Amino acid sequence: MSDLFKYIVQIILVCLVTLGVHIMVLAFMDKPLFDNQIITAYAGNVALAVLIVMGLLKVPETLQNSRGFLFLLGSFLKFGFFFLAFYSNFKVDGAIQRIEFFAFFIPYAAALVMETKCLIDRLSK
Amino acid sequence: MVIRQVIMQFTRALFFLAVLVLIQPVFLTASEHSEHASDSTESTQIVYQEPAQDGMSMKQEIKAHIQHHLQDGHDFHLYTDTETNTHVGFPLLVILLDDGVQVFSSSRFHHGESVAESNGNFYALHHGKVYKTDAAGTFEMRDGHVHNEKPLDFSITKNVFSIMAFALMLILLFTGAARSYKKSLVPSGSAKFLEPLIIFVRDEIAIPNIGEKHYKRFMSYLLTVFFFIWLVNLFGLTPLGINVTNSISVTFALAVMTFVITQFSGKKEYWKHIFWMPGVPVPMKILLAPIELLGVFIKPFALLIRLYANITAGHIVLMSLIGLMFIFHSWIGSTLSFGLSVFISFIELLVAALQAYIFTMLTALYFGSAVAEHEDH
Amino acid sequence: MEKLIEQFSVGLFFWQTILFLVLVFILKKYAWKPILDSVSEREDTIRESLESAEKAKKELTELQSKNESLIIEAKIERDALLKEAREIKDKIVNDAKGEAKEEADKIVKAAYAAIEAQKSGAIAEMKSEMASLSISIAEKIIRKELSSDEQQKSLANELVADLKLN
Repeated sequence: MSDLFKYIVQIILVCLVTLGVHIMVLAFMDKPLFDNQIITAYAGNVALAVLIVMGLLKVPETLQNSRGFLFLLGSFLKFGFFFLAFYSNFKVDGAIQRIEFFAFFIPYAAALVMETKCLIDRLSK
Repeated sequence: MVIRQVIMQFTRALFFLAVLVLIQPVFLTASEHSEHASDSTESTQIVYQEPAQDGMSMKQEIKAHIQHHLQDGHDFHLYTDTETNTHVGFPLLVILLDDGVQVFSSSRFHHGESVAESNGNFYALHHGKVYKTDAAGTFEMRDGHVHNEKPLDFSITKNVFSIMAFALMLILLFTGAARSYKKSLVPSGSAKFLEPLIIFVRDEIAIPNIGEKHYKRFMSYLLTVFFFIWLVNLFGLTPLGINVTNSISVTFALAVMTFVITQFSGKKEYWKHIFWMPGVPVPMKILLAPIELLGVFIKPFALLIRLYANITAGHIVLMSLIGLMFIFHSWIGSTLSFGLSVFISFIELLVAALQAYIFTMLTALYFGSAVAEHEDH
Repeated sequence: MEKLIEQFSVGLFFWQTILFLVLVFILKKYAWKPILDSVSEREDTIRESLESAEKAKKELTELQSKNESLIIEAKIERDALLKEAREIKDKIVNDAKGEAKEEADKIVKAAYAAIEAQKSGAIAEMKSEMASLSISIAEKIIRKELSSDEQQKSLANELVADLKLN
């Protein structure tokens, strides 16, 4: 339990810090701060990352070897999340702008790094 | 031993292919000269969908035919008589996910010449694909592309029908072979021919790549892939025009299955080698992780492209050579082209087996890497 | 690449996946498993029978070599027996010879001894005979003619002649 708790706190902390930096950069560039579903992107990615980490830690004994597979499955889940919640909104104006892309990609990358760290910890045990 | 023979055959085939490529320009220039005469020729060349128009040269006709031959279709089409414009073949089931499920016979399209109506929706074919349209069948064309809505198409197309037929053939063939073992352990009938192939897959592909310990789990998949691809490739060489492996969707499906099985059977060691490569310094580990992860996806992608490209290229070469026969008007040219196409057909026979072998081999290799225990670290 | 994506058909992908999985499962149950099982069973049978044949062959050769060694052993034993017998015979013969010789020697010796004894006995008897003879002679001489020297002398001569005769 404490392990899981530790990971969840780490994920939330890292994503909060990233969000802070992200917003600061946006403010510095005089861009709208909370546009492009940026909060949804962070919240969604954190939620999915927590879900995946939970899956990685609570995986039954028989599937211990398939943790990596679970990780990949989680990534596909995230792609699904992106296509369901963001893709159509981003595509409304015909193209995905750089700022839109980063609004999703930065929290995605941050959460991914944390998940990967968790997976590596598990694998190295 | 067998492998060495195959490799020898293959090198020989490659050599001839190289010779072929070298002499091809000769034919091409020859065909340029004879082009002007081609309008007046009488031929039994088959053209689908777009009947030979005035001004459409023989070369274009052949190109269209090759394109069509390589394409999937909504009916099982054998050939078309251009003179009378009659089609020989049989219709198949169209299943569309649009406004609920629409199921109707492909005969309603009249080989792409008319609009099909189902529950108040109108559909029409353009280049073998189903588009939603109105009662008049108008296509919204923009820069050469149709911009009509495309319904999700789960039709039993020619390829799907062929896959079903192949599956049935494989089931009949191998359950028949399996039955012969009930009588005695000595193979009889078709098993006599099939058993060495099965043993080849087991001893030359599965065991060396996966290892004694784990190979049994993957045998069913490897054998099915091997015989499926081989049979499909062989049938692709017949004039029936069933080319399942040169359809990217089929090879993609096979590659996805290989990918999923590989990742699912991946052991702890396998994942560790991807995400946290043992035995290298930490910065290298961080650098290697994305590369290795990318490699996980690239490997099956290479698999699908290899099979697709090889078979498609073979068909194009073969059909181009056959097409040359109609372009040549001289006795010598046609004979040469005929000889070459016969020759390429033989090579294609070899390629059919070779591609099945390579696909199965690489699949086994990936499985092997997934279950490897890396005692050496 | 674009052409490839354009060619991609979700329907075909879907059908291929479904049909292929069904094919794998049907073939696994009704073809691959029975065929592979029979093949491996047959391979096992072949291996086992080869092994047992090999074993039998080995046993046979072992038996043969055993037989051979037995024969050799028997031969050696026979030879040894023969040798021993010969030795015994020789010994017996030699012993007999020795004993016989000894016996003969003994007999000869005994004979010598007897002869010697008889001889010495005879000599002793003769000596005593001679002594008694001499005494009787001397008595006769002394009794008859001890009166003259002549007579004494002739008597002495006579005696001496007698002695020489002996």
